[in-house]
Amino acid sequence: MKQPLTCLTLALVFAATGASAAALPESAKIDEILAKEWQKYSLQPNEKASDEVFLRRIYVDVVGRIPTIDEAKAFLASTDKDKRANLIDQLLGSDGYVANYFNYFADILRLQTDTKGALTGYAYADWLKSALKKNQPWDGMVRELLTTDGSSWDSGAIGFYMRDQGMQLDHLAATVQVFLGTQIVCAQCHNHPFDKWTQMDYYHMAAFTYGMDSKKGYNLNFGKMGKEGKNSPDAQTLRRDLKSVQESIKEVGKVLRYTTITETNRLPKLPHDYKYSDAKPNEEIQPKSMFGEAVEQKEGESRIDAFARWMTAPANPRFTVVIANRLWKRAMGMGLIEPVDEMTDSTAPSNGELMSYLEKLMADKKYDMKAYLRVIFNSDTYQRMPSKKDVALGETYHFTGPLMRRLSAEQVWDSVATLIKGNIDDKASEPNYAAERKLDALGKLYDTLSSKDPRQLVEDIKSKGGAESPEKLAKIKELTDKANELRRAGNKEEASKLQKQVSSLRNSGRKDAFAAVLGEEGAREFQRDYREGGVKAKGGKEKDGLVRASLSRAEIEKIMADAGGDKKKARELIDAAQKRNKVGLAMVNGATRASDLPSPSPRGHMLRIFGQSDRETIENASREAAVPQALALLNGPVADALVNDNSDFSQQVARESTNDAKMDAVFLGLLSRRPTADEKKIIAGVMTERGDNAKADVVHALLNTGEFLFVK
Amino acid sequence: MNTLLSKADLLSRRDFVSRMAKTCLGVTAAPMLFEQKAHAIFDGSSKLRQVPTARNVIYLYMSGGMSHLDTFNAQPGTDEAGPVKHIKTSADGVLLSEYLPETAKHMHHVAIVNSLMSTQGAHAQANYFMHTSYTVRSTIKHPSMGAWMTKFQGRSNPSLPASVVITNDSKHPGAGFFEASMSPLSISNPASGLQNVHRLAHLTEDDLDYRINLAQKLDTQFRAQYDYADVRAYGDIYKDAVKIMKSEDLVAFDLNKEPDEMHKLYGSGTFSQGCLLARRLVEHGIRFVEVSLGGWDTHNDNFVRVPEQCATLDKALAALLGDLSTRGMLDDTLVVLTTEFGRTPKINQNEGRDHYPKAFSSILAGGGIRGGQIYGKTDKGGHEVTDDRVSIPDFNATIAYALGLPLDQVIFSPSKRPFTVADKGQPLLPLFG
Repeated sequence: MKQPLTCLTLALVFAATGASAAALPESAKIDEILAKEWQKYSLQPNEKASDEVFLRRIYVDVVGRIPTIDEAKAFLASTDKDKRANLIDQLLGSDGYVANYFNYFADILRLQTDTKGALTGYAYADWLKSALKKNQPWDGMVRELLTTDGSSWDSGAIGFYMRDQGMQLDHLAATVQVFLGTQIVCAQCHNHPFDKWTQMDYYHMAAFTYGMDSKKGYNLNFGKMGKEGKNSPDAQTLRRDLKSVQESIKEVGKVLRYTTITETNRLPKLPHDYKYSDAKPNEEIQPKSMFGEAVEQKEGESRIDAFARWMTAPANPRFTVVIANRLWKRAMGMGLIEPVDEMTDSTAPSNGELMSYLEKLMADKKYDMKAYLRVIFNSDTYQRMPSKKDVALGETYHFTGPLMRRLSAEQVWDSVATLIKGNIDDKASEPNYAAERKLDALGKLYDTLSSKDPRQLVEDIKSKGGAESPEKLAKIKELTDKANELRRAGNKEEASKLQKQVSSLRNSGRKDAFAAVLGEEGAREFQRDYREGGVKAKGGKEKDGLVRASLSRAEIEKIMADAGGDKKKARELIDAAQKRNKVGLAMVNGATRASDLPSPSPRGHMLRIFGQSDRETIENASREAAVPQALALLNGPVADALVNDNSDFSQQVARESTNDAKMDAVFLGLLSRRPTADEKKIIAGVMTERGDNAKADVVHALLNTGEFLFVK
Repeated sequence: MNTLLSKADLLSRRDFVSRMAKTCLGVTAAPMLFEQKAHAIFDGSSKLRQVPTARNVIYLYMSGGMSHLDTFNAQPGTDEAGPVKHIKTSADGVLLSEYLPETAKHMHHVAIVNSLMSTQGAHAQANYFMHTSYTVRSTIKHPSMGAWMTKFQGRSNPSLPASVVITNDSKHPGAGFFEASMSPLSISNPASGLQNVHRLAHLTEDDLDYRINLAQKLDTQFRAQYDYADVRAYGDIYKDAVKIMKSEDLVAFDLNKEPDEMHKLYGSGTFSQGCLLARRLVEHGIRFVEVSLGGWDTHNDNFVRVPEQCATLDKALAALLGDLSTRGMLDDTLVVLTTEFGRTPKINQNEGRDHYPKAFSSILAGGGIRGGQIYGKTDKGGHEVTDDRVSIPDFNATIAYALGLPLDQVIFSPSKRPFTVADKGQPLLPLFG
């Protein structure tokens, strides 16, 4: 009797909720697995999400921003029965996906653009964007990160190791945490107190990646002189000569520091105070995997290649489940395993069947993250209303729908940028051309240096005056002493002037050094390509859509009328209006997508105020409420930028002919829905009370609602 | 008003993990759980406790590595001193570099530590070590001293942040692994005050109130529908934001309220203005203020650049010490001046000095410190520490001790690793009293 009863109740659940209407069979499978769970716990799934709720959520989840007014209208008006599935595909195909997922992975990988090595961080950022743009499968991305050596101008993926330059042991802990969801950091210094890992396990694992050497920069290529050449009298003379040009060489070599990862056979040694009996302090440790199958080096395969293959194999017990769970969490607001990166042998997912299915799905899709996300987004489960309550600590969530969450810092910022500039997705993943040009210049310099015989190099520098001649040093000393005397006598200005002369005298040698290495023309080219222009924000200034800070005649006339002949008051009003325009203008011009700004943004930037990760520790972003966020939205430039005539939002609102339609557009722009009947009443009151100010009032008010900051 | 910077009642990942740590492994359960290990690890921590001698700290950070020989470690008559002459100060037997003539007048308040030793020789690493007592790891970020103070003692003025950092260094460790609410507020330009605390220029108070009320009305339905802690938190921060905007304490950040004489006394420039702001903030109940002065990385032309640096420092530091003393604030305000490392006693071929963590100097004044003394010694020429070696954790333990922070109290990071303020440093007791 048992069997039919279950079937009957299952059928009842389906009757109540409707069988899965998902567009993809794999999506229906997710719904089916969860339906069993709801039945077991006598739960009802949440209602199907309205088009408005789905619309805003799918934009934020895929392209990391809210839809524009036009985009919202088009979707809501469409009667196509496949419109949700179509929108999912359209957004997954857009470059907005690249920007949104870049922000996510940059937080996980602690990607900092301003890191060791002049442009290594920028190259790393560009690598990550291009990998996402070509939808490189996750296992391939991870293998590339783990195994890439060479220079930043050849592959930005070297940024993975350079990020933790000089901290290879720490780097291993991060690698295992990020890709295998396992925390072994404690075992770096002693056996793990809460898990089974020993310090020896840690060193065995570290031995795989320890050979990826980040220290080597440019050194004078003595190799060019041959083995014997190194010890020849020639070389000794050279070393002596070298002293006189070492400042110049240092200067040239400086720009090449931390740009290259070299694969070596180096192995880690146990610490000097190793205290366990299985080995002696300072012993060299061989690589060995911490779990799963042994790592076997195939014929012709390097240690790191074999390790990367082991790490990303479907047979690895944690690699697949970690990424499957992470992306599920990203879509649904909570993982089936929490925390996502602290798995132990006793970790049990909240729904084992679903976790196994998702793990298999990820492997079946060959780690194609878009294909995997597409399945989740097309499920009924994803397309339900959010749960009305959050999940209490320690409580199991049964995924009767997604959980509501605050937009990430980048999503808040990109949504504001969208309101100001409209659809920003098409510009999202252009490479950082300025950085690329600089990287090319570095590559050229490196090649030139490496190809030169050191004897020739020293001669070249000397002949160009790049050597520190005794005369020059004497002159510098003389000027310095004089500057000191002047300063003691109280003549600080003159002392400063002399100091500047000293600096330029020193720098003259440095410029000559570049000319000596690259030739006059080459040095000029290098100066142009490498030194000039910033890399931080890419793309030129937008010519269209610029506003002048000055006011139009009509605006001035209106202010004069308001002031009623009081000239002082009129002036004050005009000043204020101009200031407002200026602030709005700065915001309009500065609204560059988060993924195109330095990572992380500087402290005090709106992105940081809203909790952007400092990219110091793994997933350090925060979605916590904080007072500066309220202050930024109440008093910061955003409110003015939105109502500035040149914002895309204002222009779309202005196109509407009636006040009602304008207000509808305001709601669509900020909340992706039209006002309810109650809200319409409130708005009518505002219009009566506030007249011309009504629109700006409503815009500013909506910007400061919880509904704006959260995605349902 | 809970906090200026953050609401903690939220299930963010960090928080989730730290609560798990508290409830499951937790701070209270820890001693039993770790009985042996915890003792083994923290046996070295100082058990010293005392009534705090300082209520506030003004922490002046000389970024880039301040040359010890050309400032506080006077080595008259040595080659290493280079062209620098030395001057007498208000403290018997204490000499200073001629570059610090104004500061010299306040040395009876100041204790010099000439025997610091760091293990880090690169800027970022040494700076981090000095600020946190721990070396840089890529698996964790340690809290700075201001954050430790807030963690242990909370904040005294609830409508203002507990600590402030006036710097352009965006890599300051800040709250480290502590909750965001422990973060120092960062100000890059002391003249511009707090960000976003004044309403938009074209709005009247009534306009803004109207909009805030309207926002509440338009958000009613959403808030009623969703019973989420983080949605509620957003309701609270708006209340707090309005309170701050109307708070009388905001004047603490407004340097325009200082008379011209004060601006003249401290000097212009970011550091000088930062020192003036620091005094103002401390007066208003902000207990930990850091001000940084960059430009000390004098690999070239040390004897032209150091005096220029010192001119800025000397004026502001002397003004600060004098001003605090006049106002009676020096008794409970500890002024610390430190840096990441010293500079090579040997003058290099560019008339510069290179990085030198082996021996360098810092000073402390006020807040229970006995002025007019020199602690620790180097050999002649400032190469090696010979007496009373001070590690970075020792130096920080001294600051923590003055504030009355428990040096042996273990705090667990969200990743459940145990840490103490100032690592295992021992406070320099002879400096007090």
